[in-house]
This record gives sequence, structure tokens and C-alpha cells, in this order.
Amino acid sequence: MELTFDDIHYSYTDQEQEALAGISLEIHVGERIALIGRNGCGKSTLMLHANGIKKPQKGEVRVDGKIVRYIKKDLLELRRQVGLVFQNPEDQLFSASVFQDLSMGPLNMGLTAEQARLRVQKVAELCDLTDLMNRPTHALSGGEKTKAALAGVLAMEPQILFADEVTNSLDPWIRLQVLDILSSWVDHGHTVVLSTHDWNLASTWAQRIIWMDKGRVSRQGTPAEVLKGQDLPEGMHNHDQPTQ
Amino acid sequence: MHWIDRYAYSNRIRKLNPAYKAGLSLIVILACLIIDRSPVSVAVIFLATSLSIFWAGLPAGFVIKVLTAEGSFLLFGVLGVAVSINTVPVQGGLVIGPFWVNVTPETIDLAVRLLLRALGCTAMMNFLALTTPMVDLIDLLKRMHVSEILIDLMTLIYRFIFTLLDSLDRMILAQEVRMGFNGWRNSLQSTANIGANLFIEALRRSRRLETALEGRGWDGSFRVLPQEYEKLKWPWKR
Repeated sequence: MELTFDDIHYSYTDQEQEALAGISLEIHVGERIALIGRNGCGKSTLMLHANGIKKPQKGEVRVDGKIVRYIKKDLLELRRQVGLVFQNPEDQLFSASVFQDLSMGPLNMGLTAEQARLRVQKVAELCDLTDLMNRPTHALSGGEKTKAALAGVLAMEPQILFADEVTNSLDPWIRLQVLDILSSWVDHGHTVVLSTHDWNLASTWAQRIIWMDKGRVSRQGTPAEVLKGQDLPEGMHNHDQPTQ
Repeated sequence: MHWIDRYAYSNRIRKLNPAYKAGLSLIVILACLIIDRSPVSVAVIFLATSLSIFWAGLPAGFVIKVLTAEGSFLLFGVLGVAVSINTVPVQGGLVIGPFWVNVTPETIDLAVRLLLRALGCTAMMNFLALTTPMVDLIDLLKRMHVSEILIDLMTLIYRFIFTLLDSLDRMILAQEVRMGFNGWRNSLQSTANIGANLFIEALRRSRRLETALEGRGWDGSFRVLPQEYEKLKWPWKR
């Protein structure tokens, strides 16, 4: 599967500058991608376009060469294949229990109750949530909420998963667990695009880094290609000087 | 509300089908209301309390404390039934200024019956609320084909009320740190600010929620798998 952004332009009504200023990008299945850039460079807006939440004001989003039409049928199909997890898990947990929350996506996709149950079981094991299935979502800790929100999207088995700064504000142990889940998802033949401010994480975890600036792709390539020799902010480390 | 939730999830009969618990509660409440005799109401209070403590395993002190608090509130309510205050002379009444205050055996009897009946129904509702998580009650309403809109609203309100309560706590703390409740005028101002901010926060959250729901293929109705429950086991069959 291939997801293509072709010259996408998008502006928010209350901002003068374009959030996406002609961004063009291709995402293929089986990649581990880090999306980096300053606050306000358009990372989240790009992710909202990937999932069909936002419609480009100019340009096209294509899946396997076919232009995405913003009608219900096409959008549902797009969301089967492209998942999106937001930074704040509170915004993505809707049901009274973890079990029911994980079942929502598969049932919305039209799966039967039995198929949904199997998906829920599988994704609960992947995300280490089996013991929390009957817990009310409001009673989860921050890390558990993040995993539950992630599991809720993974239950739909998207080919490409966009994770918008999901590792922010997690302690190192939960962060490792979440990264393991994302890496495992890639190992199962999918793609994860992880937006992050942590350049060390980007350089050690990702196979490809996409660096965005002012609504466009500034550069992309392997971590060595993208980060080496760049004028990084103080305290950030160059790719060829790994930290302990 | 947190402690209701806590006990609802941790009691001994939590996994029992909510239909049994709700059915039992409804039958007992109806009996208490229809029969309307003090001994029956007392029996209902005793039954509900016993079920809560011995069957559900809830702490006795907690159950009695909740019932006492509710009873105190109800007592204030029935005082108006027991005591009548008139502006015209009443035989046997106590004169206090321009008023005649009167208490008769009939009004006392009515007040007591009312108090016990209300307390009986309350005790049975406590049993249901403290042994059945909200998610199970919502599930039961869904099975009873209650309106989908109502179910979805209940789900969302239950889900987000705790989140908004947490936001409220943080806002209050932020104001306290800045001496926002120092004096009456400051307190009023801070309360108004918090109210407005909470409203805006709720609006913003609802937009983010809608975005996240769309991402999961939501088409206007919440589809979730039903919960699984244990079958009722009679004590002698264990």
C-alpha cells in the first residue's frame, strides 16, 4: 500500500500562514518513520489529512494511486487503512470500559461481534492490556490510557499508523513499552509514522526521518543523512554522537 | 462519585448479570412504594442493607454511613409533613408570634411512613448503585432497547464527567496557588473564571473527541461489544 500527499495546501481560518504549504510525500508499507519539526510546522495537520479528517484546499491525497474522494464510503475505506493516534489519550477513550473501547473501531468497520472479539483479544495481548479489560477508562493511569488509545486504533489493523507525539509525557519505562508496540506493529508488515520532538529517539528508532518546516518537507532520508552536520539546538545530539 | 465507582467495580457480585440486580431492586422498590406500610419499609431497609453487606461484601460501616446521611436529608424533608404552620388559630397548636404550629399523631404517622418508605427505596437503590458499574447499567438499558441517543449520551457523560472533574480540580488548585480564593470578592471572581474556562475546555474537548471518533469510523452511533457476565449461582449450589 502506498499513501501519497501531492502538493497539499491547507490553511486554518484564523491563521495567515499556510499550515501545509505544498507538501508532497510518499509513505510505503513496512517503514519506521519519524516525523520531526518545530511546533507549528504542520506535523499534526499532515496527520489529520492522512486520515481524511481534514480535506486539502489544494492538492490530492492518494491511496495506491487512487485519489481520495471525501465521501463517506471512501473515507471509511481510508480509515480502515490509515490509523491516527493523538497525543492526549483522554481525547480518544470514549467508552466506559477498556474492553468496549477497543471493540468500537472493529465494529464500526463492519466486523461481526465474534471477529471484533478476536481483534480485541489480539490487540489487548499486543499492548499488554489483558488485565485491564474490565477497568473503566477513567480509572487508568496516564501510561495505561496511552496504550489503550493506541490499542483502540490498532484494533482496526491499519496498514499505516500515524502516531502524533504519543511518547511525550510518558515515563521512560512506559515509553519503551509503547515503542516496542510500535516496532512490533512494523514487524507485522505495517508502517508507523511517529511524530516526535525527541531527535535522539528519531535517530535511534526510525529508518527514515522526515523533517518538516513551515508546512513543507525540509529534508528526508535516513537518520544519518538528515541529522548529520545539522545545526541542532543546544543539548540535542548529532546522529553520529550517540548518547548513553 | 469516585467511591461509588470504586465499590461498584470491586464488590463480590460485580460480574453478576445486572438484569438480576436491577430486577430485584425494581421489584423490592415497587413493593415498598405500593404496600406503603412501615413494617414493610423497615424490612426493605433491612433486606437492602443485608444484601449490600453480606452478599455483595461491601463494608458495613460505609453502607450504614451512606444510609444515615441519606436518612438525615430525608428527615429534614419530612419535617414539613409532620409539622404544620398556620396563620389561622388551630386547636392544640403552639403559638409562635403570628403563627400556630401544630403536630398531630396523624401527621407524625404520615411523616414516619414517608421517611421509611423513601429510605427503603433509597437503600435498595444504594444496593444497585454500589454493586453495578455504570457500564453494566448502560449495557442493560441497551438490551432493553432504550433510545440509542440516550445511551450514547449516558456513555459520554459518564466517561467525561471524571475528566472534567479532574480539570476542575486543577483549575481550583491553580487559582489557590495564586491566592484566587483570598476574600469573598476574589473567590467570586475566581469561581466565575473557573466556570467559564471549564465550559470552554468542555467545548474544545468535544471537538477533539469528534475528530478522534471520526478517525475510528464513527458514523453517529456508538457500537461496542456487550459485556460478559456470570450466571446467578444459588448459594446451596456452590
